[in-house]
Amino acid sequence: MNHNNLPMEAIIAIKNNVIKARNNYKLMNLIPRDDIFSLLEEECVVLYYPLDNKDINGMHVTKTVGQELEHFVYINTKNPIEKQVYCAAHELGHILGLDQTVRDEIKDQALDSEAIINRFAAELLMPEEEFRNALILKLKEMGYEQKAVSITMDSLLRIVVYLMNFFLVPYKAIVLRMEEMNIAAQEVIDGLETLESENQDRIIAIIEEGKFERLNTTNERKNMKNLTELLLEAKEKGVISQRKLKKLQDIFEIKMQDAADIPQITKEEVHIMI
Amino acid sequence: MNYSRMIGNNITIEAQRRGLSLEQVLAPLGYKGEYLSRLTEGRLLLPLEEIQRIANVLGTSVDTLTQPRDDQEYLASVHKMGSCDTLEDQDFILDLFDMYADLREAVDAQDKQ
Repeated sequence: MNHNNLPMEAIIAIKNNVIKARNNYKLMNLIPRDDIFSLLEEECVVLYYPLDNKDINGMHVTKTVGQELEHFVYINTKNPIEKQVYCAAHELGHILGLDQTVRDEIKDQALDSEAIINRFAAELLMPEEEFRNALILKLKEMGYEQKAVSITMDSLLRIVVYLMNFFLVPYKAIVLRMEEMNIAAQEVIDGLETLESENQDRIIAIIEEGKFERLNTTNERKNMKNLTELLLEAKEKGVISQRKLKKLQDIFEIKMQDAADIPQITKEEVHIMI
Repeated sequence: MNYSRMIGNNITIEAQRRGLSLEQVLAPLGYKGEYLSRLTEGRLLLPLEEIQRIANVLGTSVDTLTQPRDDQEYLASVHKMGSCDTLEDQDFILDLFDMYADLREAVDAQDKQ
């Protein structure tokens, strides 16, 4: 199945917007990996929470806080970290309104939002030059020096997993990037897609063999922006009921201590030598 | 799904079906800016008379706006990456967002006093 359904001018517009976003965020690292969460947190309130339903990767809504409309994003931390990273980049694209920006820039209102946003996430997380360089380096390491090489599907699978770890993105994102950059023929891309659905165990085995410790791991993080501080403040100001406070503490597993309960360090003077 | 959220979603769905924006439906009734957003987010508890006024503008009945619909209609109303089959998960997330927003507003309001 071919996923390259965006016209070239749309791709150019997306790339230019990625450059703009990088400049705005003063992003020095060309490969953001999990730094993407900090970028997202600059733009919105992020809820990190593990839901057993792994099919849901994330969610985005706007909500009124005071008189302002704010963005709220949910990330399912039950999913592997690489999926969380990709989800964060995808939702960042929505918050930045990249779909509408690109449609306006190239004057084509029929372009599919999700296709634009997914391409934005790919360009941000896996810049073309870095992707190609990482691929060439890995191929050289495996003994392939030529520009065009024939390799087994299993070796290609190893390369995909290596790139997953290098960019901290999901399997699908790497395969799609290979397709976007015309790195492999369509039947090879289709083969890789089939491998993911039919041979998940082999992918996991390669992850384990390669000691890619960050891949396929979950952090099951439970948090929201400054939630503990907010709860403490609300408690101090008496604007939260005990029931609601307990409910949120239970949901997020937050242990709160009153200032009076925190053990104090002795006030006795001690000697030090300089 | 809580009652206010269901009403907000029902109004949004009915407006969309008629090809109308929420502003077109609600602004003539005095809902603007913050209040319009709160209503559609389901964070405004509407008395029955208000629901009747909105139903009149939409050319529908109070029952249409106050009866629960098929879960799929509510699931489709929120942008998600991936799929969510049950309303329970979506509501859990939206409830947390609402609680957080309410909390920040309560703290800020106390600061202003």
